[in-house]
Amino acid sequence: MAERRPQEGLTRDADGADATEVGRVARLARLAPDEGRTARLASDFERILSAFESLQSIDVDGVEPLHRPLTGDGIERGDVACDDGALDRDELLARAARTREGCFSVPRTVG
Amino acid sequence: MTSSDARDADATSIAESCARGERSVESVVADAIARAEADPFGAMAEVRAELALERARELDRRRAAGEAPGPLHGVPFAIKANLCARGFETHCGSRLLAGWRAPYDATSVERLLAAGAVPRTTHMDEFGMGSSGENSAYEVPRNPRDSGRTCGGSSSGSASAVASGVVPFALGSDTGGSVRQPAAFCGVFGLKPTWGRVSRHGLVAFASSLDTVGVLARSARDLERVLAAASGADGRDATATTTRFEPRAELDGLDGITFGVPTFARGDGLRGDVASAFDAALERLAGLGARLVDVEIPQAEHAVATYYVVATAEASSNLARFDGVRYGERVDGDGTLDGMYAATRTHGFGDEVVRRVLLGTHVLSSGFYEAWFDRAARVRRLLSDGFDRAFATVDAVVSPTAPTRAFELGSVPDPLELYRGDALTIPASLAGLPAVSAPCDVEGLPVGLQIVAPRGADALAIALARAFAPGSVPAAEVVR
Amino acid sequence: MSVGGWEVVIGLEVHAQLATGAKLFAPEPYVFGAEPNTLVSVVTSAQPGALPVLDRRAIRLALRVALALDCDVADVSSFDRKHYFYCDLPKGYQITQLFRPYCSGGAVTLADGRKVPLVRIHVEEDAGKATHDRGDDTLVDLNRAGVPLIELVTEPALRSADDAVAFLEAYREVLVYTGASDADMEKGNLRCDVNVSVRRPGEPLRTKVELKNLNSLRNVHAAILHEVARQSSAYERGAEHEVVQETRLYDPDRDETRTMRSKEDAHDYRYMPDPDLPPVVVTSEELAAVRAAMPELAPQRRERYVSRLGLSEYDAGVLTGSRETSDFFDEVVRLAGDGAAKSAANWVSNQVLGALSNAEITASTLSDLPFGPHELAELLRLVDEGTLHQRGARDVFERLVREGGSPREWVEKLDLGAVRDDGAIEEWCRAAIAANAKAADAVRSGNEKAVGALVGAVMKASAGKADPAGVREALLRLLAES
Ligand SMILES: [Mg+2]
Ligand SMILES: [Zn+2]
Repeated sequence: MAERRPQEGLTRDADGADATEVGRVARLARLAPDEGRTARLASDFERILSAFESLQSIDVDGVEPLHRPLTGDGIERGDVACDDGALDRDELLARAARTREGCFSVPRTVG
Repeated sequence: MTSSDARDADATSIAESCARGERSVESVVADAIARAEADPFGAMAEVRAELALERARELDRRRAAGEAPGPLHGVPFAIKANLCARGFETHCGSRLLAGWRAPYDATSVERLLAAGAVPRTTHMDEFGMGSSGENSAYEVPRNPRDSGRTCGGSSSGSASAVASGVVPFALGSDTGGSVRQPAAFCGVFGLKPTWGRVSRHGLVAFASSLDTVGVLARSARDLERVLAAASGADGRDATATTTRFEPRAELDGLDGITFGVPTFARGDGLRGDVASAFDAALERLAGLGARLVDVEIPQAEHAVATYYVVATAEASSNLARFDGVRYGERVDGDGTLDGMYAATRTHGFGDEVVRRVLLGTHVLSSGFYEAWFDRAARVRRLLSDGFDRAFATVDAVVSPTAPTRAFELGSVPDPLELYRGDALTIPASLAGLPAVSAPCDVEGLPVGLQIVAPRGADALAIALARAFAPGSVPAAEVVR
Repeated sequence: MSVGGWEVVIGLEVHAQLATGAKLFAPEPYVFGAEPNTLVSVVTSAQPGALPVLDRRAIRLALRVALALDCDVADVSSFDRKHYFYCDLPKGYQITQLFRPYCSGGAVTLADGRKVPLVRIHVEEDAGKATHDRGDDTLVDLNRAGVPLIELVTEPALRSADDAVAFLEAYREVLVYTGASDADMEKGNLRCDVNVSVRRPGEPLRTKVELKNLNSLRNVHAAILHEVARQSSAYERGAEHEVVQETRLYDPDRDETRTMRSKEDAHDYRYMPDPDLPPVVVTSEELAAVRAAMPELAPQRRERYVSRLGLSEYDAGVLTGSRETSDFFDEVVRLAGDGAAKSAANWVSNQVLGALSNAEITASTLSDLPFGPHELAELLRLVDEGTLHQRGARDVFERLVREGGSPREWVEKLDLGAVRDDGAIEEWCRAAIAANAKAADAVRSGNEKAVGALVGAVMKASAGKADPAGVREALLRLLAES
C-alpha cells in the first residue's frame, strides 16, 4: 500500500467520473450524486479533511490501534445460550424488492 | 395518580404503582397513547395503540393471575427507530428503509418487554447521523422546552418524548453523544453505557465500535432500573460484556468523591451561558462534599477529528448492506446491478449519510488507510489510555454535555460546525466509557452536566448523577 | 516445466470449506443441496442490526490443518472486513483475516517428498450463490453465504501444471484426513485460484495473471498449460502488452482463458478490522488439545500398514487412497485382529473397491454398501476357522454386496459350509477317478495338470462345498496309491 499524503490526490487529473476524489469514492461506495450535490459534497469534503489535518502531527509510533474498546474477552457462539435467529424463506423474501423461484432477483450480471 | 401526575411520573413510580395494583396497566397505557397520539412535538414515529392496549391487558391479566410483575411492569416507553422491534417500522430515519418492519427484536427491546414495558417508536436523525433531528426523511421532532428549537440528536424523538411526558423513558442510541446531547437539550437524563454493556444485537449499526444502546429518562434512578433490565451478556453480540451490572446504593452526598475537570470542559466554542451553568454545577458538586481537580486528557483536542475518521469509516462499511437486494426500496437505475445499487443508495440516503459514507470510503481506501484510519485508531488508543490514567486519581470526569444550549431549528447548516458540537461527548465514546448527562436545571433552556466514569462503572456514573440531581424532572408544559 | 526455454512460476490460492456443518458467524446449520434460501438467518441475510458471533469449531478444524502442515499458529488473530459490492455478498463485505491470519508459514509435502512452502492460511466466510442461467435476471441463493472456509496461499514455488495438480492432491489428502473438509471439488468445497507467470531462468518475476473458475484438477492442469502457452507466445512475438496483471476466467468448453477483470477496475477492498468481533486467542492448552485429538494422517497410516501390519508399500498406498477406505480397512483389522491384516488388505483393495467400480452394483462409495467392516471381518473369520473356503467366501461376498445380511447366515442359507468329512471326500474322489479314466491315466503318467478335471468333478459332486485344495491333495494321494 503506497503511503500518500492525506491531501494529495483529492483532486486528480484523470478525466471522466473520477476527476475528483469525491467521484472516485462515490463510485467505490456505489453512490451517484448529481453534479450539484457532488460539487457541494466535494467542498465539504475538502474542508472537513483539512480541519482534521491536525491528526497528522501526532506521534503515534509504536501505539497499538484501538479498534474496539472491549471489556473482557468477548464471547463466541455457544458461550451464552441464544435462540437461532432463523427466518423462514417466506419471511426472508417478503422484504425483498424482487424475488423469483425462492431466490432474490437482481439485474443479470453476466452474459 | 391522576393523568397529569402520570405525565410527570417516572418509570419507577409507575412500575411500582402498577405492581401494587393502584392503577391498571391498561389505564396507564391508554393515557400514554392519548399523549402519544396528541404528539405535540412530533416525536413519535409509530404508536400502534391496539397492540399496546392488548399488551397492557395481558400484563393486567398476568398480575391478576398471581404472576410476579417485572421491574418495568406496565411502563410505556419509546424506542428510537433504529432499534429493531418486531412488527414496528424500523426505518432509522431513512427513506431507504421506509416500510421495513424488523423480523426480530433487538436484545435490549426484548429484555424491556420481558420486564413488562409497553413500546412505541420515535423519530431520529438518519442512521444516527446528526445532532438536531433534522437529517431525517420523516418528521423532525421539536424541543418541548422551546418548540422553535431542536431537541438535539440523533435520539431526537426519544428525548422529545421523554421531556414532554409522552413516556417516562425511552431507548436511544449513542455513538458520539446521540443520547447525552439531546438529553441535555431537552432537560432530561441521558445514559450512554460502557461500550458492550448492552447488547447491540438489533441496533442498526452506524459505527460499531462506538455504538451503544442508551437510555433517556426523567430520573437518574430510572436510568439504573432500565439499564439493569436491558444489559448483560447476549449470545448474539460477541462484544457484549459477560460482567453483570450491579446497581449501587444511593449515595449520601459526595463526600470522598473526586471529580476531574478536564481542559476540554472549558474548550473554545463553549458558550458563555453554558460555561456559567457548568460553574454553578461544579459549585453544587463541591457543596455536596466533592473534591474538584483539574485533569489533562491527552489528545482530547483531537477527539472530533479522530471520531469522524473512525465513525465515518465504520459507517461506510456498515451501510454497504443497504443495496436494494434483500430489503429496502429498490430503484432500478440503468438496469445493471451496479446501476441499481447506485440509484437505490443515492435515492435512499440523505445528504449527511452520503457525506459520511464518502468520507469513510476515502479514509479506508488504498493509499489513505495509514494516514487516516489507522492513525485515528492509534490516537484513539492514546486518548483511551489518557482516561485510564486520569481515573487513577479521580472517580469521574465532568464537563458540560454540549458546548451550547439547544439551537434554533434550521440554524446550523454547516456540517463541520455540527461535528464540533460533539466535542464534549466524543471523548467518552472513543474510550468506550459510561457517561450520564444530568440536567443542571430545566428553568428556561436546559444545560446538561456530563459525568464520565471508568469502564464498567455505569452504576457509579448513574449514582453520581443522582446525587447531583435527585428526584425526577417535570415534563415540559405543553403550550398550545 | 520449461516450455521453449520459459520457466513457469505458479502460486496457488486454495479455498476449502470447513466441515462444521454450520456457518462461521451465524447460528443456522449448513447442508449441501438444501432448497434455496432455507438456511438463512437474520445474520446471514445481513438484516439491519444483526451481528456476527464466531463458531469456535471452525477455528479448531482450521488449527488441525495448521498443525498438519507445520504452520506457525498465531496466539492472537483477528477478523477484518473486505469490502466489495456483489449480489451474493449480503453485508457488502466479507469477513476474512488480512492483517492477522490465524497461521502462517508451513508447507505441503507432495507425494514425491518435495515440500511446497506456504505464505499463510486464514479463516473467512463464503459468499452466497448467484445463478445466471434461469431467465433474464440473476438469482441469488444465500444458503452457502457465511459457510466457513480456510484460504491457503502458497509461495510462488510451483513450476508446472503437474506440480499444481500434485499439490492439490496432497493438500486434499491433508484436509480429508484431518477431517477439516471433505474437499469435494465437484460441490465447490475445494476451489483453486492459480497465479501464473513465465520468465527466463534467473530473471526476476514477470507479470502474473490470476486464473479463476477452476473446479476440477483437470481444469487446473489445462488452464495452466493454456495460460503458459499464451504468455510465452506473447513474449516471443514481442507482444508484452498482451500480458497484463488481471484475472482471467478459464472456459473448459473452449479450452481458453479470457479477461474477467483488468487492473484498471481492480478492486479497492478497503480492508478494515471488524469491530464486531473480538480477537481470536489460541492458548497453548487449546493447541495441545487439538494436537491430542488429531486424527492419524495418511503418511502415518501408510507407515503403520507397512511396518506393523506387514503390507506392501503399494497396498498401503491403495488403502490410504481415500480416508473412507483406510477407515474401513482399519475397522476390519480392529475386529479381525492384526493377523488378518494381509487378507483384509486383499479383500478391501480387490473385492470391496472392485465392487464400487462395478457398474452392476449401485453403491459408489463405501457408505452406500449394504454391509460394513463388521461383516467383512466376520467373513474373514469364517475362512480363517475353516468354516468357509475361498470359493464359498466369494459367493457369500457376492450376496453381501448385493443384499447385505450376516455372512454366517448366508453360509447356512446357501448351504456353503465346507465339507470336512474326509470319508465323503474320498468317496467322491474314487467315483471321479473311476468315471474319468483318461484324466486319471494322464495324471499317473506325469501330467499333474490333468488333475483339474478330476477336482472339478468332485466339486460338482459336493455341490461346491468341498475345499478344492484338499480335494486335489486327496486325488493325488489316491492316484499315487493305485
Ligand atoms: Mg484470494
Ligand atoms: Zn478468500
